[in-house]
Amino acid sequence: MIEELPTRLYAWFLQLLQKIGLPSIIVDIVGAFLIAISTCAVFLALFALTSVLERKILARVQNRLGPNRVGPFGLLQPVADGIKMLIKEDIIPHNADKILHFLAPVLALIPSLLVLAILPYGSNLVPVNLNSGLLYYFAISAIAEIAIFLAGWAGNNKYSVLGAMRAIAQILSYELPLATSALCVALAAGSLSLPQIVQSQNNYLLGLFPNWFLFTPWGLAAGLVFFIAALAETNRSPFDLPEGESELVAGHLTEYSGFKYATFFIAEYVGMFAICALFVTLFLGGWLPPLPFLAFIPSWIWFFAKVCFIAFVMIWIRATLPRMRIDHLLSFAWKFLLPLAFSAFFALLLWHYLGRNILSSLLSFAFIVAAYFALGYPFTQRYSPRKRTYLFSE
Amino acid sequence: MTANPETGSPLWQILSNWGSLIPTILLLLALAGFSIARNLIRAALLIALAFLSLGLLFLSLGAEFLAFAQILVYVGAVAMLMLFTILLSRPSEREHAAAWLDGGELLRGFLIGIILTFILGMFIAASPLASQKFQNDFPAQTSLSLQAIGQALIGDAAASFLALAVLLTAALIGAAILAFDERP
Repeated sequence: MIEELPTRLYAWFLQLLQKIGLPSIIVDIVGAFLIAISTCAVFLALFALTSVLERKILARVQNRLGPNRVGPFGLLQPVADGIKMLIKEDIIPHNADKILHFLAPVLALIPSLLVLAILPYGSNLVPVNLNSGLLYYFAISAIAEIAIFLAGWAGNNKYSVLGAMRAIAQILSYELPLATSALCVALAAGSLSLPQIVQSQNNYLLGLFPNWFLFTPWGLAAGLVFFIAALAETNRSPFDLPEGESELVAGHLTEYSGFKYATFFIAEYVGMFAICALFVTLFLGGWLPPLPFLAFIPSWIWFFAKVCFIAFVMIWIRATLPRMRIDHLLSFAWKFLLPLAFSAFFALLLWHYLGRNILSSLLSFAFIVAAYFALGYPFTQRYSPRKRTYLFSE
Repeated sequence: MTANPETGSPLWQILSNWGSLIPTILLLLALAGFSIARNLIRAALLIALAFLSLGLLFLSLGAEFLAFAQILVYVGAVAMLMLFTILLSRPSEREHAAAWLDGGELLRGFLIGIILTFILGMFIAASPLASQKFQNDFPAQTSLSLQAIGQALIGDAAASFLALAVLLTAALIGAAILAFDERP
């Protein structure tokens, strides 16, 4: 009953519309809008909740209280923040490209809402079921890079252009390991359609252990690569140096204020939830319950529980790790993550073509471990700088 | 629960008959803007818009995979590469007073465009792709599965696929060399 609650509500509402005599084309359009609006509303509500819970969790980690003045336990803080952002002055620099300055936050928000359309939220809750859903996700999130570039360029400020270049360099470099590790899953599931990827993880070893892709030897490597690259794609700490609020001016956001600034934040947080949802779909079995006898809990509750857990891990990492330096960040992506993603790909081929049994799992695990240590060896060497010679001092 | 309209419903009819209109108009406008913009960054952004609307056009014609690949490769990679090249190789593009080309330049450009279109049209009309025999040998397919595309790309079409990849790389390197301006 609860499992089918959203679909039944939806069907009931559309039948109501038909009963009062609306033509079927209007009903179709209203139905499509209803799905779009409810999907966006769920994620925007999650954003509002996270904006306060993140500060609460960070405060707890740092032994502080966090926001606790507005409403019970400070839970109305997002409302106060929203009002503050809305009534702030919207400053447009004198020499800015005004159209592009306005377009950039809009263009940042639209892709992060568009990608929500293809995620399977429950066993029968897929807003749009595309055959190449995974490709759709990467295609749409590519548009967000243009938005970052626009934001940096439109303000006519050299610091924001430099910040945008750094942000794009980071996002472009981390897109490769992200896509390669997602490709492993597509190959193992034999499909680019997200509901089918979830279905292909739908069995339990010995009737108990979930057969999710994270628990295969190649999937462990690919999942970790995907997660780290996802952190960098969404500018989350420790990869939040495009914005780097305590060290730089705010990168491509330098010339933004008021609600345009807030729009970038909404886009970032919705994008973070979207990529958490994609991670859950690809590696953590989507809406599947972790144990077969827990299937009485509705699938969409499992899905959102997993997404919230992954989002919590991201906040936890933000509270734990310091920020990276840009050259470390790029060499980490190109010299470690990308080769590791490729070795996960080869481990997948070993695992698949040797018959997906225990022996092939062990072989593929050994391959991954060897690749991990071989690739990580240069990073463990102590950095010894050359002796500096100064021309004019001394 | 899914927002895919059912095949045969009135909404589906409208989308399949008129859905390609908006992307086509957007594509033409973006290309026109691209050819008359004097500011290189604006031109690059407009060509990104043109790539995007071309993807939407493919989508409205039912070529889902092609549409997403188009957006991923052209908007995500090629347009970004153009923007990077422009920013890294040109000193400053804000010095021009006029944002768009003036009348004389437009007229010359229009004439060159017509001549180019004529020459290209002649080549296309003379190529075997336009012949009746080719169309009989390779009839248009209404629906092509993802697996079929993948098998074609690593099977029959592998050589031409690789050749195109090399050509694209060479073109991008050439573009970077052309755009590079020796600094004093």
